[in-house]
Amino acid sequence: MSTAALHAPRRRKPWREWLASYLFLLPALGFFLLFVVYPMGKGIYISFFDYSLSDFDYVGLDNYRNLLRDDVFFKSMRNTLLLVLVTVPAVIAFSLFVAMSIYKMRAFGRSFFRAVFYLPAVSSVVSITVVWASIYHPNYGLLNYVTGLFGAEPVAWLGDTRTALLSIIAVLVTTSVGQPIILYVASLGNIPASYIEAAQIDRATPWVIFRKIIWPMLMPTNLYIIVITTINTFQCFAIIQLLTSGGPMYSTSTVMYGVYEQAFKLGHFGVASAMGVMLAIVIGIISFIQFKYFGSDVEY
Amino acid sequence: MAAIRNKLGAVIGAGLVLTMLAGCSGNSNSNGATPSGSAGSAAGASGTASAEAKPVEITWWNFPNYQALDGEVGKYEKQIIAAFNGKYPNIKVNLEMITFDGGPEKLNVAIATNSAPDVIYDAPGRIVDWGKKGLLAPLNDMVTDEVKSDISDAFWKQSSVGDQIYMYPINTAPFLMAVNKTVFEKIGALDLLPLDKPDRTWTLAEYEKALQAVKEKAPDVIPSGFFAKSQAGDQGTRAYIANLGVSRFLSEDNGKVAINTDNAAKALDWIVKGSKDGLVVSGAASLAAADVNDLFLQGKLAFTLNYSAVLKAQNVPNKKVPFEEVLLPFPTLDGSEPKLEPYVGGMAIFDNDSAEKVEAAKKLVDFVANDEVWGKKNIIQTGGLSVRNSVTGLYGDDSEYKYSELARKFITDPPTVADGYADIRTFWFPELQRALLGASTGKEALDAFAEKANKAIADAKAKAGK
Amino acid sequence: MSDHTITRSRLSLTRPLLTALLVLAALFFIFPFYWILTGAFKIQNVAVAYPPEWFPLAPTVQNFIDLFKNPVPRWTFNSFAVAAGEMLGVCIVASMAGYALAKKSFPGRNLIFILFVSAMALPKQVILVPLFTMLADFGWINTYRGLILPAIGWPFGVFLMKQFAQTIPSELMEAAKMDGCGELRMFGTIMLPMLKPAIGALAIFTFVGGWNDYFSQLIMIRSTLMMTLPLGVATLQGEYTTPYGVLMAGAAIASLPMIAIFVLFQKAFTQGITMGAVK
Repeated sequence: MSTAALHAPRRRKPWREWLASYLFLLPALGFFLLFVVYPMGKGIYISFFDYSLSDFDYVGLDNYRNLLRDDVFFKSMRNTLLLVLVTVPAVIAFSLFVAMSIYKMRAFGRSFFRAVFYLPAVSSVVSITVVWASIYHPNYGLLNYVTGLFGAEPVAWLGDTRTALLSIIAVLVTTSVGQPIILYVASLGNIPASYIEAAQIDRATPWVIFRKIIWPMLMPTNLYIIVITTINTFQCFAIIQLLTSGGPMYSTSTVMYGVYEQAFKLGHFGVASAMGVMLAIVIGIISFIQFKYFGSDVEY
Repeated sequence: MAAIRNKLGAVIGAGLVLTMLAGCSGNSNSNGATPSGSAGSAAGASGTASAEAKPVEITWWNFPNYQALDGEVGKYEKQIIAAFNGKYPNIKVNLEMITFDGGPEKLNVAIATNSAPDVIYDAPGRIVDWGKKGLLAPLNDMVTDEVKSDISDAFWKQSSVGDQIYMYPINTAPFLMAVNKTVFEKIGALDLLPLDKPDRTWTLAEYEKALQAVKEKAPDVIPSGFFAKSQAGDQGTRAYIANLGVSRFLSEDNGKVAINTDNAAKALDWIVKGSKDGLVVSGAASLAAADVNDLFLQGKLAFTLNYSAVLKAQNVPNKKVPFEEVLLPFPTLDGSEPKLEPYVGGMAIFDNDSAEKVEAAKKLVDFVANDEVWGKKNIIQTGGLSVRNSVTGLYGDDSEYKYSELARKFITDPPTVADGYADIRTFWFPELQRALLGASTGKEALDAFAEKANKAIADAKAKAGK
Repeated sequence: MSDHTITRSRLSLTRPLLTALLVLAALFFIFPFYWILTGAFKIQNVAVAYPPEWFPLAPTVQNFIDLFKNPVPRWTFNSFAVAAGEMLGVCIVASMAGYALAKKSFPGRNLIFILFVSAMALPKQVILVPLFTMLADFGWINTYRGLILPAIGWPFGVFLMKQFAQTIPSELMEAAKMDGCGELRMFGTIMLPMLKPAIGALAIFTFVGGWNDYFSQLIMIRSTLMMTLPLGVATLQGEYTTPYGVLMAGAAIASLPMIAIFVLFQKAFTQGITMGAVK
């Protein structure tokens, strides 16, 4: 954080500066309060009601109580956490691999690969999912065709509890690595070459160089990537809706998908809001841990 | 000086935002004025009921119930409206086409936010639910005695809550299976299909024999379909298991689940086993009804579960391999008569607190269903049969339509009118998935379904009683 | 840069195996687009042929003809209008707020920033139900307003701009202040030009995000004519059949503008992304 702002000259009356600051903030804050904070409050309010189609009855904590007794909700919560726990490290590992391989390439190669890995992130997720649905198809899917060439039995990738979530994660990872790669390439480029050269003179192995020099210098980038990837993963919706609709046996159902199903498919807005509130609490806890654990040396 | 500049900054900042707002709203207004369906009219329709003068504006949301004319969605509906306006120039009808995919969600939110349309052309599944919740205007006064007696009681039962009629039934077709007859011709096994019987009824044993023949002689064709990805098209899996296992889905009074019998469990086990033996499509747990029908239309599947004369008509342009499909009833374990769930389409009117709108909407419904010129024409455009007993032979000599008319005698009352039906459905396909994936036996799956669904029915009844 | 490359290449990750892996991974990423593009020109039963037809042997434009029976130009316009509207709004609002949060001191600054940041982690869907009911009360469902304005409230832009603005040396502004430069002029003549790369990146981010915001659009849009391109394409999936060829044609059209934008603005894009996050 820039310390200069704190030492800003105080010659003028501070309230003028304050007023100007608030006015600059006003539009953003206004939109934020109206379209984020207020709905958030209203969501909490609705979660205490049986709000479905024409009904609007106060039910206290019933929605929460029912959720805590609902296996499907727990399964969805578990899937949501699993999705984050697998996707985030996978994204980091994959982007770091790509970034390490390309950051010392010539400009053209670098831009080319960066662009290739960014493609799925910028193009419409609906388009991507359409293709993946046909790749994963149990009967005429490309994936089964290719594995079949090697003599493997066909697999119902999205229709088997053992593979469905992994298949979703694979798609999610392809749509999530674009930005991390760009960030890592830049961070790696910022590591002074002299550090690495010095280590090489000392005959450090590449692994040691990575562990002791590169990785520590990447920590701020890591935090940023972890945060954006976690958010992105929690928001994963279209992929699940279009590929599995949460199945089979709820093995790909996430809380996010549950919110959608309860609210918009079944019209149970109260229950959906309660799910949303519980998800927000979980996300809050996770973000807190992430900042505490990875963010000790990064200040926002 | 600085203070003035500060204020200036604020004013300009606020101005920027305002212009932006204005820009956006201006944009939406100019676009909202396009003829077919605008936000303003949809939202305004429910709010203001002040128009005392003659002209009434109503909103009609339509699923693609009619085959698209020249491939253009909504074109046929616009023709209906134009003809309707010839008779009733003072009633302006705003049409909005919704899809089967996102339409139900949109209806849910529209109702919850008091912006429901005035007229909807849908099926009992949702309409009865709305009726129970008191969202619809009863249509009893627009049903003449002649119409009342011309439509069988089964249809009225499905269209009503108690003695209040909430859906004006229009078109129907029994849901059936279909077979790719061409495959059987090629493998010389036509005699395995029950086509020599006029009612085409058959047993599970005969059916299995036919599947075996496909498996052995046409190895590139999957013998039969099944699906459990989502609730779309679930009447197919429901009717399939109910018929194979000679069981009802729900009890006679729709008070509890009746599908968890030993026979139905046997049928489900048979399907699961078949998917391992190559008689039933593999990966059914991740296939949707549409995927299975796609396989059928591509000529890669011999039997599909979700078919009707309506779908046959609609699928003509989607069929990319020429073959002849024939409608069949579901086979039963003991050769008893099949029980077919009908598709029934009809129109309902939302009670949006405006008597004029309800009256205008009734005129539109009456026009769509009963107009001398358009009544029949509309039914043909749906590809279905008329719910009226007196209206037959709409499609000339087409053998499959003739069979559909004959199969009407097998029609049973579907579970769509049950309390809590929307919730019941959400428990069905996950239990099928469980059985298909070998995580439970057929009996366990059906029992688990029964337990959850019974609770949903009880909850819905309790709530309705409140 | 270039003088580093020689020494760095000795960092022995350049073994052929790894390169092969990289190329394989790249192919894996390109393939869906290849499949969309070729699938769009295949006739239906070829699009789902098994074994697959790797290249359309009998290309057809029928899929596009069928696709354009739907109001595709209007969908495209809607997508652009929504994405551009969000872009404009977010950039204006966020650069002002980011500047204030990074470069000014006033009571409540940290509190406000923490509020923004903590809301960022929240999935949009959590507030979608109440947001929807609120917009319905305004009568904004199925309008451009209803699609665009809520997105401007989303705090990511503010966060990003604050991060950027922090890297700009305060000395510049102090000097300007001594010269009696007012707030607005300071923002307009000193801050904005410095923020340009950041605004560029935020603009592209927001545009892409708005284009791809499937969930909000799914819920907020009612009529066929108001649909955005990705939503329209998704609805082509029928209840009983899947027109793969047409879907692919739609998917191609829905993706191409984003890819074009990315390729055209790649430099500004990567610069923008990295300037904020990497310090």
